[in-house]
Amino acid sequence: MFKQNVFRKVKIDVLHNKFSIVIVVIFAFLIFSGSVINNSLRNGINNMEKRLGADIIIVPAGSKENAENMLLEGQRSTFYFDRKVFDTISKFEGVSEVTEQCFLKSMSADCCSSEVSIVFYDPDKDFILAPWIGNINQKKDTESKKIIVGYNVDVSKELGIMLFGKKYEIAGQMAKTGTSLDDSVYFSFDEMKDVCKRAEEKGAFLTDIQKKENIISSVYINIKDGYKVTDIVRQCHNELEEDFDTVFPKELTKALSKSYINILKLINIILFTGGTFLMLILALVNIISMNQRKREIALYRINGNSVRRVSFRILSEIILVNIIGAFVGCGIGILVIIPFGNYIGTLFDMPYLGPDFIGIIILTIKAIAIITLLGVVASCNPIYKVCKIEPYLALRKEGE
Amino acid sequence: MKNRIISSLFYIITGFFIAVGPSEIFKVCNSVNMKGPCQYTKQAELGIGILIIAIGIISFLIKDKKVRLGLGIAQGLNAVLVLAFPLWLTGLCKMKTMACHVKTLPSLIVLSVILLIISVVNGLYLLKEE
Repeated sequence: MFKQNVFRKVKIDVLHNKFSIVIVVIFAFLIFSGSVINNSLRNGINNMEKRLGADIIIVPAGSKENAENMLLEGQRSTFYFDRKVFDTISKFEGVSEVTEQCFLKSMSADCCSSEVSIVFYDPDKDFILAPWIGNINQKKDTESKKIIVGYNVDVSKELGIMLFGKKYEIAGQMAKTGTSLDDSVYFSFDEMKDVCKRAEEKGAFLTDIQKKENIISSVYINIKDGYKVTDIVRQCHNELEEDFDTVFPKELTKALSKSYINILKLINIILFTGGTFLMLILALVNIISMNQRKREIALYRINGNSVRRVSFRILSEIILVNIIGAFVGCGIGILVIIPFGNYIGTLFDMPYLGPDFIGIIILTIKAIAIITLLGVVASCNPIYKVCKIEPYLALRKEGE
Repeated sequence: MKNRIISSLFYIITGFFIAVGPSEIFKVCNSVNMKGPCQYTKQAELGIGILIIAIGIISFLIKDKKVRLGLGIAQGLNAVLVLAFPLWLTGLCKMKTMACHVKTLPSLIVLSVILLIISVVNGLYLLKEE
């Protein structure tokens, strides 16, 4: 009887195991989804810090809020000043890198559903997009009328993208940023005149300012070591002819990190209270079940099995139940949380970057390990207590 | 009898959500001017949803286990079709931030997997009963 297969035993002892499995499934689902959401939000924020790859951004006066929105949520707005601003800033002392971008407007590409933001950038001086595209030779590619597209722009390298009646080849696709920046198309500044002309021909409305050639939307500055942000801002105030606003991207992430920490706290509280509650129920179920199985265990003992051996046998049953439950719970988590990732991101109103395949596997293994460990902890004591009772006493009590 | 009622009920409920969901509950993109591909997916899902409900009702009315097994297999294949429309056949909008990608597709994935699991479990049960 003792050598009966553990799997078979788990299958036979349905009533108790079914109940335990349901608890473990809920617990596994909670742990798995909590860790996936936590990971994805953290990745989203890390990614955003990477995207805010400049120390200072100079934008036209009055556009500060719009520029901050663009950095945080990727919502682009149109604001322009003269290219002279960029030229002046390039000559400043203490500037290590400087690049400019110009956002034209959001327009639909070959199909209604694919409205993309048209942005111009400088392939030679760019340091904002580069970390996102890998090692593509931007200069060469944009010269040959190729463009860089965001992650969400659905194009194949062979087909390219149809914009304003012209087919453009894709030089590279950016990695996922988790915001609506993923819907942008980046042209070189050399293309600006041509793109604007074609856009107008296709019926896009461009304002008088947008029709000018020498406009830019923002200047991104990285500061040399040994210089301060205030040094650059002071020079801007002294030498720039146009009014401007300054945006400090790194301060923006601080605010976002704060709300991330709040969400994390909430997730942890839910996990902790839910987890403790479920563990208590599980421990209680184990105690009841162990008491019911006193006679069975006593028989094992009478057959000459040691306390250790019997305990190990019962424990392996519990571990099996936990692993099955954890698998099912994580499976439900994968089915529900992973596909709804984007939706969860919009609910929290934060950048959200879901885990990849390997990430999912690692999180699943982690969740299963945690649950199995907790399951063992919750059942160790009752198992040991029942196994330690003298077989004679256990049988007698059961008989009474 | 119990199995017949439960499985048919599950079929009818999932079929209902598949049929009505894309247009009413987890809506596809709301485009006024032009029809995106997700609009066609919506129509297609309505059709498959009704088919799934119909098969659910038929499997409730028929007692023969072999016929019900066959209907279960058909439901399993329907589950594949539920996903085939948005993923390959009619497709969805191109931008991944649009409603059809954010809400409709994940919901259809969940419903399709649920339908598949129900039909497989029911099929195995019927095979065992044979």
